[in-house]
Amino acid sequence: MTSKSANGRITPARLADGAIHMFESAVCITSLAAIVVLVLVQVFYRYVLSSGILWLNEVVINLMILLVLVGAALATRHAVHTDLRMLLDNTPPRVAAILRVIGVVATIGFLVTMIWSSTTYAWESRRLTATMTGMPLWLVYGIMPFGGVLILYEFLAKLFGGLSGRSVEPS
Amino acid sequence: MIAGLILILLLFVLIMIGVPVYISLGVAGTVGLAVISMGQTFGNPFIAIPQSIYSGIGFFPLLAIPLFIFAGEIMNRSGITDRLVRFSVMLIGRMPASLANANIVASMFFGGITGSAQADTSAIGGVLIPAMEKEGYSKEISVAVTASSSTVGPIIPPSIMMVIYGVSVGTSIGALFIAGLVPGILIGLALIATVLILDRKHKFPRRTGSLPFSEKVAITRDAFWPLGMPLIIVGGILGGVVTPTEAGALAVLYALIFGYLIERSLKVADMPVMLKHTAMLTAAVMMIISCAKILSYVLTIFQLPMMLGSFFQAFSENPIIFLLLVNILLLVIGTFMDGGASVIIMAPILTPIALSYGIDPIHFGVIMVLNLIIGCGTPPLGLCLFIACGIAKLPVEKGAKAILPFIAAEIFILLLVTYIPWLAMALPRYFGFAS
Repeated sequence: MTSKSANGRITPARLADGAIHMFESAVCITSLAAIVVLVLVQVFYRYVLSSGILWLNEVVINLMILLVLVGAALATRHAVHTDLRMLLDNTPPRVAAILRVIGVVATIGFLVTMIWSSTTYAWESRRLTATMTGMPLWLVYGIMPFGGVLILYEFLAKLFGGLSGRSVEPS
Repeated sequence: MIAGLILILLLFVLIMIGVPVYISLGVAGTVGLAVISMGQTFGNPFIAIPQSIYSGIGFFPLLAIPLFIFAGEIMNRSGITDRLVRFSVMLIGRMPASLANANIVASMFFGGITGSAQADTSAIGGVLIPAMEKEGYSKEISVAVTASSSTVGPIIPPSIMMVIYGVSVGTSIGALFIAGLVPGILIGLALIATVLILDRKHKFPRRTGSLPFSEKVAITRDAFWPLGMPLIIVGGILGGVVTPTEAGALAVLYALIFGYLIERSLKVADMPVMLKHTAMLTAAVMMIISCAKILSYVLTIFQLPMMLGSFFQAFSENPIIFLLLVNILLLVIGTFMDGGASVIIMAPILTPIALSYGIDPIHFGVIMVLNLIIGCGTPPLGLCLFIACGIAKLPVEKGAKAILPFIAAEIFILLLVTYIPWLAMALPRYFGFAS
């Protein structure tokens, strides 16, 4: 991911975009690596030491939530999410433009609703803690609005990317 | 009922106009929640969105999905494709339409390692579509064989769709894995039979040379390690030694040992790339599952499952007719919608009805997955067909026409598996997973 604009100049916006990309990649890489290691540790404890680590499953599940929500933002940047372009590609440009606007409005509408409802959910859980780890639940549920904001950012950046010269390497 | 059907229609419209599948599912679910909120004076129905997302992702058995994807990614980058293709070519030997049949066999092996139809199309197609064209096959046949055989991947264990079904209806994932083995092999054999029938008309190229014994030994030795992975997964689960999630972790360990210590084709710098790619693929699959849960919840509030159940019971009390209707319904859904999302939405609706007809949930799971994977090879959402056409630079319309005989063969096997439950249930019963 470059931090340069279309004319090759490094701008604050490009730098921030690059930093967000690095952050998303680092979170995804670290959380997946941690999941693999922790599940293998659990297998070792269960079959070699004949005991289990009770808090481990809870940690792994929370890492999975983090991986998926932040990974979904990264997948938006790299166009990994499944979509169907056949109809749009074979529709007259004017109709295709109207359909795209409908799609954009629907996407933004859903993401905003998701961010709002999951923020409410996290806020309502602010006095609760996780059973095994004692971790505050607002922190766990807070991953959802956080991920939602990142997905919305990536979607909007992609939407307006052509104007600002954002370059994204295809996956 | 009407509201539920309108939401499903809205979902299809959004998918058709290019909105990502997970967003389309989320929008349809959110509109449903908005309708519910109009008739509700207390509480916040939109809380179902984070609840569904959290429960859709945060379930321990679903961890098998990133682990299987990661294991497949490591094996793929380690260079197993060439080894499996050479092994398949050797097995097929001088059979008519040798390379086309080797393509099908390679996909069956590859499916046992990655469990993903799209990964299979990209990897095997990338090697074999140009090779088939070079040997004299038409682009249409090369695409049709590659795209149709790739769909075997989600049936032969490990299978991501089987994991999703098992989690959705609370059935043993190990039992589902082993139940998919015979139908997967049958689909492979049916595709080979289709190639041989088409060979009578088209006279496909046939290999004439024979490999020296020493080379055959070398090729078999090369294929030994990649083919060991499905044995560990299936063997571990069947032996009751590990759960599917743990089998996924062991598969990752096995793949790492293969890539870094045995084959030594991977570098340390490859690790972040593989992790990042796996994370994105996992997120894409899991977001579809979690957003499908929102819609599934809304459809339950609208009592669609109950009404559909009453409809089936009123239509016929005969399980044969019920299964025929289910096959038609799922084949149509499979062509329009992502397989994972279809399972999340349809499995909780249809499986209880199937149980009321006396159909085993494991058998029903295999029927469901078979129906939905056939859609991977057909437009409008035939991802395998799109990938194969992209590799061959062939218009999708031509690929879609060429794949029809292969789709017919798959539907034939689907009907066999539907009406001869023994084909899916023999192995689970033998290993004590079903009575």
